[in-house]
Amino acid sequence: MSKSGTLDYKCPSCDAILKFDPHGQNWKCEFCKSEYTLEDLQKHDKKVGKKELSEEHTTKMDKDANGMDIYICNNCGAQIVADENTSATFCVYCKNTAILKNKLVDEFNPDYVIPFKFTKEDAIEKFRTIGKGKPLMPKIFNDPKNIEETKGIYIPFWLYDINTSGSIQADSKRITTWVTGNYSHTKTDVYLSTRAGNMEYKRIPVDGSKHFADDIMNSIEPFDYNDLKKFTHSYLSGFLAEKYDLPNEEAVKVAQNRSEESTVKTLKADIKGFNVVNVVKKDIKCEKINDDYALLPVWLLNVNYKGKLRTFAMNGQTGKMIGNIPVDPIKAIIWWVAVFASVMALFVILYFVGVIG
Amino acid sequence: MKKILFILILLMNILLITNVNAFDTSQKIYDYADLLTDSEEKMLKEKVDEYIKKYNMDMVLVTVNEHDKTSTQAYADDFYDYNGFGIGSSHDGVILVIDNNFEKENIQMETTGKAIKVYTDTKIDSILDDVYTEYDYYELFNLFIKDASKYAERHFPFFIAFAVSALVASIVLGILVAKNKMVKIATEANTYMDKDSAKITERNDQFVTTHTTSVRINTSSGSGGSSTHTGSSGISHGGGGRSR
Repeated sequence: MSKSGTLDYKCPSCDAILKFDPHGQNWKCEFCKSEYTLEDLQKHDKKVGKKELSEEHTTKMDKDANGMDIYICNNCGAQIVADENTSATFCVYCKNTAILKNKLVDEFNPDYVIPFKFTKEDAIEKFRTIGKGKPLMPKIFNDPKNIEETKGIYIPFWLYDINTSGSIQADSKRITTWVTGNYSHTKTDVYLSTRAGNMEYKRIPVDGSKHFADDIMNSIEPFDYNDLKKFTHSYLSGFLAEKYDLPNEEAVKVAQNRSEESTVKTLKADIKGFNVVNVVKKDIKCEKINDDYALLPVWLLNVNYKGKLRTFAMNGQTGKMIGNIPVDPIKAIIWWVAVFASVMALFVILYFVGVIG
Repeated sequence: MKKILFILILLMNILLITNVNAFDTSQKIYDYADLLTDSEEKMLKEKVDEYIKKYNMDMVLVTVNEHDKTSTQAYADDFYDYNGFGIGSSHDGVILVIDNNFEKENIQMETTGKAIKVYTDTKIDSILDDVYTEYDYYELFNLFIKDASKYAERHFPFFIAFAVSALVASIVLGILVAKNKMVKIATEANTYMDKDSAKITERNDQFVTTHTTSVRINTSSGSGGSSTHTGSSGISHGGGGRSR
């Protein structure tokens, strides 16, 4: 069929769907329990003369009225509706992973992937213990029952290598005070500080998908790039995946801004021996040296607490989970009163000991 | 041998007797100038005892017509120190002397130990301002005891304690609320900087200008300080006096 199909991995032994196992970092067949490494699969592909992205489990049919793409699952014949940026999804009926082939070809084909290291169960367990060190969390908030949906998604990220060079100017003030007799003197020495330098940044990640919140994607950083693997679609098996819709030219600006900020900060930190340093002028050039397109693993949890939907996200590689936890107003009041009373009690003790009053 | 022993015992007895008779510090009121009646002394003594018990500081009231000290302050300090007044190792207490030895009548208040801190310079001034317009000596001493008690009274610093407690509680709560908010936009890229690549190529601090401002320190604000001097006995005192 044409390149507009989807594909999934099938077990070379029994033809059942073969999913990637985050714990084993290999592929495990749920039916015949066979396990395969990436090498095994590639060998098998070669033997059966199959090119990558050739096996098709869905056929692209049409666009529906809303511009959504409709695919037919070749496993069970059901229709799969996916928006134009979805590159891997599930057939809602037979749970077959449908890798929508045309989403991964040509310019959308990622350079790298970091495979999932944590499973859905890990993500739910992590959510269950999210209240650790957060005394203001409502008691039942972390109940896994509040999780409406857990999705393992490979999110498209642009990774930028950026070299910065430039200079900053700052008003620096050194303030000294001393006392003679009944007078207090304040001497302010004003300097114009200039610092110039250059710094290199490696693989600043920029979320390439517009419909995932940037702040959430920022907050699960950093990923450990030592695990970056050359992309092969077999890793997508068992997970959802997106293709980028934020073009390279736009995404690079985000990385440039972040590198500029860090360079200014580093140059500013070099201005030492002053009480006040105010940057008045900055001239930093941020040059893109390299860009890579990588799929990075993220568990997204939709949490419904008291009717309000909240998104939690776990870095699928490092296990770092983030999200905004609601504050229990009763607990907040109790804490405030308890701290207030403790400090007040301390004053009373100091009073009776005779230190104050 | 026996003779020597006998002389020694006799000597010790004499010493003991003279010691016991040396000075009665429990009397507290020494009216050498005879400005008070016996019944007035008795009434004042009750109040003085009450003050000593309540504030754990000694109080000595003296009137005198003649002495060989160079000043009323020296007389008051020496009277207090050499007669062994004061409570505890720091000799806490106050003494008020009405002295007619010099041309004018001097009223001198001296503080020792803990009392130096309790009676700051401004409080001593305020007490002396109160008493030195009073010419009835019984009333003068009464007024002194009343004022000294008023300033020795400790007050729980309620407003400061309330404000500090509320501030600390709010800061702690703020930190705890911040812990629940884990989603933040990233504005910098420090994690991704190659630390070895960072080079500073120019480092220049150019002097522009300097200016100095001087502000007079207002020492009279608040009731903070107590100035002290050292008496001939080597003990520190605070205090003040008035002449009339």
